[in-house]
Amino acid sequence: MNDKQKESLFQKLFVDNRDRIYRLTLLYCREMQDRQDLLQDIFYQIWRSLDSFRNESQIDTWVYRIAINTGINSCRRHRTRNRWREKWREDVELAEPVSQPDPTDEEIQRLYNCIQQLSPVDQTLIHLYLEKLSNEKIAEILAISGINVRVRVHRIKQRIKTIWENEYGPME
Amino acid sequence: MSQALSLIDAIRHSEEKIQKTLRGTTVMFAVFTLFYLLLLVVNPDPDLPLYARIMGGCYVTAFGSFLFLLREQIYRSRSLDYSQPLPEFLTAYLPRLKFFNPLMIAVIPMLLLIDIGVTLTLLNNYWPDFEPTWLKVLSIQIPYWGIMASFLLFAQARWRRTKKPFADQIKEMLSDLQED
Repeated sequence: MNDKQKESLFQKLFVDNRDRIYRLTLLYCREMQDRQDLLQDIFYQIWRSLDSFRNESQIDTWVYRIAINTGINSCRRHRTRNRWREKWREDVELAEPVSQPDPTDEEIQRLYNCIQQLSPVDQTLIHLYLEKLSNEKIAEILAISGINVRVRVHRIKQRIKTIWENEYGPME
Repeated sequence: MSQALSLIDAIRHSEEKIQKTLRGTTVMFAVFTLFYLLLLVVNPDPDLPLYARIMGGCYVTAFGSFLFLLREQIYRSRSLDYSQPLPEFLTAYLPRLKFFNPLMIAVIPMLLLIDIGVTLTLLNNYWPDFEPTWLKVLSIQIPYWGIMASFLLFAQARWRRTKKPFADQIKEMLSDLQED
């Protein structure tokens, strides 16, 4: 892949995936600035990995894998402010993606509060489910079986229901 | 679209910066190594004592090895494949979070070489003659290894605070993913 092809593929990936990746960053950090940083980190890793993309998996599965792995890695260091990040922030101000859940929507806030009490793997899995990804695609991203995804989703829904009822009373 | 383009520019800029820093560090260590090599090892001066040549050899080897390890560490941290499936990524990531990793163990011979160099320097230049040699050596070794041990303890305390909780979380995630 030459530089021109790489650039145009990256632009396409950026436009197609920015909003959903921004929503995914909510799993790893709550502060808007941290989420912006993580979004940049993810696209940085996507750029670095573009040369090694071999069409062995679908491109959106590949993007999700990079986003999740970068998100996990960022948990360790998202509090550290390095100069490089500060510089990026000056150079690239990413606009707030448009199709994110309305933060004033109390139900969504509550749902995310419940999700954040799950294990990291379950958080990732239910997020992908809420993004309406098929069980097969989730299985491919997380490298677990499709049946396992189905069973886990069922279990997670029950667990969220219990957490919700404990924290906010009966679900409407 | 313009955001994507400015992001590409920023990425290229930071990649160049990383390469520049890496090159700068390599040059700095290479200059140190060459300096000691010329000054203390291959110096044709017939008055240069043997201990000074041995001492120089120790420093040169230690500097050279340190440079090699530093580059290895940087390349290793940049070679992680983020597009792997989650369990493979976590399995590849976990060894990097161990306290006693192979790179850290590789530092021990370097510390020994520096120890030999420091001991030879102090014994032959700055130590009064009235003490027996074993006592001189001991009074160099105790503070040297004491300082090294404090560094080790400090590094371990830092690791416990920063990396260990993350390593535990990764182990938990791996066992969670392996569950049926």
